[in-house]
Amino acid sequence: MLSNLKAYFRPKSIPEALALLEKNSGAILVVAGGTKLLQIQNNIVQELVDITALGLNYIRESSSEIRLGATTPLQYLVDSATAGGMLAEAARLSDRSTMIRNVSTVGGQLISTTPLSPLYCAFLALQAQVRIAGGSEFALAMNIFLNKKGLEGGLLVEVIVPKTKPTTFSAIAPIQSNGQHPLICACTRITFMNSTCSEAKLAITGTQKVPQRLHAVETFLEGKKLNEANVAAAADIACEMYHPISDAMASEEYRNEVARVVVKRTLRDCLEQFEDNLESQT
Amino acid sequence: MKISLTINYKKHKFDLPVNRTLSELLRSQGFWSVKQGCVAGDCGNCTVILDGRAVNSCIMLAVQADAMHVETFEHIDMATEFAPLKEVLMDFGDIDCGYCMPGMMMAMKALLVKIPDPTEEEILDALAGSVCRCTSSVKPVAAISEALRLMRGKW
Repeated sequence: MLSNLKAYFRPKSIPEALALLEKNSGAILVVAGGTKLLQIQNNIVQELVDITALGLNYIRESSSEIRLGATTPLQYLVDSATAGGMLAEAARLSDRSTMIRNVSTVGGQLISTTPLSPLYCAFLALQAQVRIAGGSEFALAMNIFLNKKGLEGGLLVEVIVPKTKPTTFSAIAPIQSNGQHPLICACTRITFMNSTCSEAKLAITGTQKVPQRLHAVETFLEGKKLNEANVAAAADIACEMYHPISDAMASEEYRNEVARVVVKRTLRDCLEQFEDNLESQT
Repeated sequence: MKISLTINYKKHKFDLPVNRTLSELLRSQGFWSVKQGCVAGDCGNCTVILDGRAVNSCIMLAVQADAMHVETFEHIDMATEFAPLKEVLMDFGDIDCGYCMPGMMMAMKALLVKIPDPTEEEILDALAGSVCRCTSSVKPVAAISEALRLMRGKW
């Protein structure tokens, strides 16, 4: 286990961390929780840069957004009233073990685990951005970050989740497997205006190698009432437009059917929340 | 690499290779309750409490725990802290080999410190990363739920 590891650094500032990463070759890795690193028996890495002393363990809320520091443990999201709702549930589903969630970090979920993490899916549906330090700091939309090969020498420092309107409701529906992540997981965010869906954002993980935004479903739903017929039609589009992968875990047909179920569940859940909210106001 | 670690409220200093895991270090110091089961974070048998949080010590480097406080099962006084638990575990026919028990107790203690009166769901969640291969996880969860009922108000 990490048999070639020679050095371990714990920088106190982001520039110090970036300098360490810059001066070394490919045998250096960033570590925060380190759970994935220790699990994969990496015998290539020679140096580790521990970023847990950079002050990136936080959940900060402003009027327009929630900022999650890269080294914030997943369990903090689960316990946080600020994160709440879909983010907290996605963090809980990202690993079934509390012991892992106590150590595994938000940044680690985006960098070192497979993109099948439900948290990744939730970030997509919530249109989150990642802030990357290095050279000049910049922010990337989650869908662009997802398709990038690497951070190009930068350091992921935080995830920025825009706050939603009072008439926006979100839901997450996993189909659990025995593995680390749910086999299939859908995340949906619907904004209502007079009982009509004015904006829809849907993402699904487990049907492809990376999470997908369901753009065709979003376009179909916008401007429509979220009745049972439209929910069923939206789920059909989710199945027809996106052909799932087939592997040892599940066949294409199974994933297709499950995708239909989880999309329906999230849409119905959003509608229920909207109706409950209406009732509580009257 | 030199690190300092507080283990069960006693300060220690170590000079160790950077690839040494926390569970390896603890076992080398005689804390045998820290079991090396799967060494992949799947079984929870190596669970210790690190700065108040239950963690898998097999997938954490000892250097990551520098300047932190580690609590192991050796520090738990079963006669006082978890007084009714031993009897309840026996009543439920829960303990076969006992290999998983120290890890489960540490996960349970971390839960109780955070939530003194946990619900069944919270117990299940806290013990989800602890695996008992003899009895499945049904009996331990049932026994621990019953023990918590008996211990209500103590934490």
